[in-house]
Amino acid sequence: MAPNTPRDDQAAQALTYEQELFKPLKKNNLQNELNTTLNIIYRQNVWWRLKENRLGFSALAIIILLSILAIIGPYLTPFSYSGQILALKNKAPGYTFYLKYKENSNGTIKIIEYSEKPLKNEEGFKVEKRIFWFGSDALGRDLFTRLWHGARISLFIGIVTAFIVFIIGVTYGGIAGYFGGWIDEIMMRIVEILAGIPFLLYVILLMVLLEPGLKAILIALGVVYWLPLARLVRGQILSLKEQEYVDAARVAGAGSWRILFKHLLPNALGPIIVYVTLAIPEAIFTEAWLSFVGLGVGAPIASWGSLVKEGFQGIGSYPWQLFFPAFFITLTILAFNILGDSLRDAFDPRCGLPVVTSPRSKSVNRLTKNF
Amino acid sequence: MARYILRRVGTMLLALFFIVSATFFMLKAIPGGPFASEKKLPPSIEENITKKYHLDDPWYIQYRDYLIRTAEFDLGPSYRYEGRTVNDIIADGFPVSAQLGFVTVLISIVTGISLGTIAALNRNKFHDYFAMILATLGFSVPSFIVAFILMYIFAYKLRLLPPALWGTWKHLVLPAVSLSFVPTAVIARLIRSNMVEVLQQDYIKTAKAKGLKKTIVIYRHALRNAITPVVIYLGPLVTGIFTGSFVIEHIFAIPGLGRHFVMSIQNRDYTVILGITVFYSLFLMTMNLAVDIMLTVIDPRVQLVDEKR
Repeated sequence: MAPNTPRDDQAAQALTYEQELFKPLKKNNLQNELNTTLNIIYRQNVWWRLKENRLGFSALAIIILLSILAIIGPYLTPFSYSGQILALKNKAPGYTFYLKYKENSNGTIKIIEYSEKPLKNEEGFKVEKRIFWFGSDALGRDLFTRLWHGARISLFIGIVTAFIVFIIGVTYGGIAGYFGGWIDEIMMRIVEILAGIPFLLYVILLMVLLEPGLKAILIALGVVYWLPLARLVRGQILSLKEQEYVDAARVAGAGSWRILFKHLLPNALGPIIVYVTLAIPEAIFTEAWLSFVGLGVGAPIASWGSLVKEGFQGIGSYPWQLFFPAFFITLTILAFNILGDSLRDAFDPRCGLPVVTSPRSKSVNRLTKNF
Repeated sequence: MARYILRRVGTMLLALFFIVSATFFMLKAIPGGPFASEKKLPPSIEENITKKYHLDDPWYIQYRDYLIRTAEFDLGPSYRYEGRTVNDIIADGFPVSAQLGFVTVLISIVTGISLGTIAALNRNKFHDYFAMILATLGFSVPSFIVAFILMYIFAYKLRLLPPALWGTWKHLVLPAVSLSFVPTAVIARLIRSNMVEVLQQDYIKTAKAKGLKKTIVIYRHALRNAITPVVIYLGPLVTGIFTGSFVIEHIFAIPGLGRHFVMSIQNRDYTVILGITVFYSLFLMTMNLAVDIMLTVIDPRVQLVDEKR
């Protein structure tokens, strides 16, 4: 289990002459191992450096703002994301109209009349003033509502994919790097074969096979994007496991799994967090791409990608249908990219951009980007 | 070196085998036969068709035949377009895609290297910030959104360039420029960070001290040493541009392979989807290997060896 390095042998020799002072611990006796303090200073440092970086901090603020709007946005309007008013299609942003409707006993609504001028109220009916803040789409649906509904889908896909990628990539890479030997050999050979295939083709194939929908997108993205992370984690673990504190932890009675998950992985966390942060915009982008090609979420569900696709139909006459989703996709991806860069700087102040030295390392940094 | 190449080719063949097998079993797993349609075929015709395409063989015979046919680059017929094979479609579409891809690679390398060099030479000055903001922005805008913006401005508002189709150089401009945004940004960032490092090296000081002209110092001494990552990036660059052109070709209605691919996805024309996937995988993996070998020629410092463990 323990790698038998020359240093271990030397240490063993040095120990022999004072043997009576040293008694072997019982296996998995964690009493001494648990007498450690959390490394709070390092984390505070990272947070502090991130706060100092104004650009990175505003990116974080934008992401939080977008997330809040994605949660509350659809409730800010009286429209639903799928409710159509065909007579009011392709209206410009800020279009105001009055709606007269009747509420049925079972909660459904029957629209009686709508007009740009104020309508008179009658017994048994209700009149409301409504505004298409971002205009309406080709089926007379409110673009503002659909946009924030799409934000929910897109952000959800981004974050859940990042989570899946994190779990698979860290476990796989961690096991391969820590145990080494033939386990590493086989696991990394599999990764190498899979990584040879262009990611996008892979995702497309999975999407064609799986039942289209949110679940399929999450599976397809999650299954693909963990590969570079597994390589990254493995490389980190390989270099970290030779450090003295690992020996110290082992001497103090920690088992393999404890060393891996409590000592090695937390120390490799910086680059992992950076990769996962950058996987979010990648997933959002890929989802938009898939929706645009026709492999994404089905109608009437809106995602930013499907909104762009719908907006593209009317590019000549109703540019706002394309502008709003395009703007918010770009803003989100930009914010996540900047946050990822700032996090990289915060975790490791020495390196700004990845310095590439060999063909191998291209899998480690973000060069696997889609266009 | 020879060992490394041999191993890479071996991995490539394994990956291809994996793709071909996966595509075969995906074809089998997808519900609905290839000739299923609303109109019911007379049983005798259906029987003939089944016989013609050997669909009555057990799966392992079909699998074996499929492997052999794929190894012979026969990717089968299209289910949607009668009388057209996947090979025909690739032969029609790929030259167009390759042309677009080549121009895009050229644009992104030239612009990317220029932007990165300018930024590095004016480090922490206005030029630098401007170039890097441009690069970060270019990095974050999906290519299809760039395509829409360019199309809206140049085709619909200014009416300078055609919004779609293929033929003259004018048709090439908008798609190539929109595709080159992301790779340009990546190259600019790579060149900048490497250039900044190279410019601090002693040999640059020596070159300056010898009294060489500034341009010679930059081009012959600095840039040549900073360019390695761009060559490394060429592999993913080509992959990105070719897969990225799926959507761009679709938007600009360019009759390239990418458009056929997207169309076949929308038509659920499975043999075409899978055939083009196999073709693209082979093409892109070969390109990646070629780039890695080219790298050793350009930069003697790089040695192709197996991963250290």
